[in-house]
Amino acid sequence: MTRFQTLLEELSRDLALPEPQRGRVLEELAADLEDMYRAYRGEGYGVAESERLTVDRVYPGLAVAAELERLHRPLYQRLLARLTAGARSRVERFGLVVLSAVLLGATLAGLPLDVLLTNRSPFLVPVLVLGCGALLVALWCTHRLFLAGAATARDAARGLGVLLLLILAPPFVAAVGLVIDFYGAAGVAAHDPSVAVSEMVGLLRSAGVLLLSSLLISLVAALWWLVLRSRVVSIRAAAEALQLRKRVVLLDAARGRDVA
Amino acid sequence: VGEQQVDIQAFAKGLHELLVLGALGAGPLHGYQIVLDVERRSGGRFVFQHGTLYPILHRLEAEGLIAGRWEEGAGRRRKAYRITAAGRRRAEADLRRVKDVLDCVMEIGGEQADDALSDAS
Repeated sequence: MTRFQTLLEELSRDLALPEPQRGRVLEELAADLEDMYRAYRGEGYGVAESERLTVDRVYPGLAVAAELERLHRPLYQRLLARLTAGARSRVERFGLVVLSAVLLGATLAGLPLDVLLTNRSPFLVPVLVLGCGALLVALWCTHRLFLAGAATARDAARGLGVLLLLILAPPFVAAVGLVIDFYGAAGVAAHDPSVAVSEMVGLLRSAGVLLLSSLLISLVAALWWLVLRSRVVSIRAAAEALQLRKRVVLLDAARGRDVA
Repeated sequence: VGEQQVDIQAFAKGLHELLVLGALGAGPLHGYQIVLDVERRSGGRFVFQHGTLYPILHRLEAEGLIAGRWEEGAGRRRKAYRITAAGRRRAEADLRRVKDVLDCVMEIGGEQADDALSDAS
């Protein structure tokens, strides 16, 4: 128990951090408070003056505690904060999180993986490659716009056009595949009517699953594109309205402060 | 011109970071030692108050510009910080930037600055 125990307990209540981050911050502050006090005492200051100077220099004010809380927030909270950065109210933030979770869940639940992986359609690989490409480009854009802060407002939209093409491509390829598979099945049926029904059903089913999967992947990527697009718009609006140096706008955004 | 524009808030914040990096340039220090060192070496011009040092330390640590290490002693654990190679490079670059900005201010001040300096001497 140190002479600053009461203050540390107050701070402990104010710091809304999970363990072990909270414990580490408090431990560092407790040690520095005590050592700072001893340093002042060693210089000849009285007990009360040493305590006053120590608290004045080292003990965090409310704004500093809030900043420490922001810095040590767990990764998932920081990611959620990034995702909902454009929201203006708690309800909007909650809505964005729920919408994203529902769409992601629906995509995972809706993808008939067993049928998809045993799919015989020659269009399976192109659709999956294009879908993965869309997700990779979306990740790259997210990193640029929300985390790295290395781009300027002028080129903030870089990659979004390519992403849009990659979003539209998988359903298009799958739809073309559906038509071609249908004609292929019709050709088989013309030569051998005995296998016509089962062949037609099998081909159409696999092509349909492929089309459905590509639509789901594109839906998620499209939602992602909308989030990225809104970020680009807010960055440009902030740069224009505040007449700030464009790099500063993005750097501030990357540090978690909303300039817009 | 826009790319070189100085953001005053960011500039002031950068100064605090530079002071911390500068204090650690001489060797590893605990947080409270940095507070004392900066205050004394600046003649009381720069004072870290209300724990403002700690967010700076933790941010610099997260960016890899300084490295924190826990030390055991006298039944307590203390955290000491040392500057990294990346931190030294950042400090050098920031020093150049600060000098550029101050040169610019002095140039704009022109004769008034010269008069003030000659009066002071």
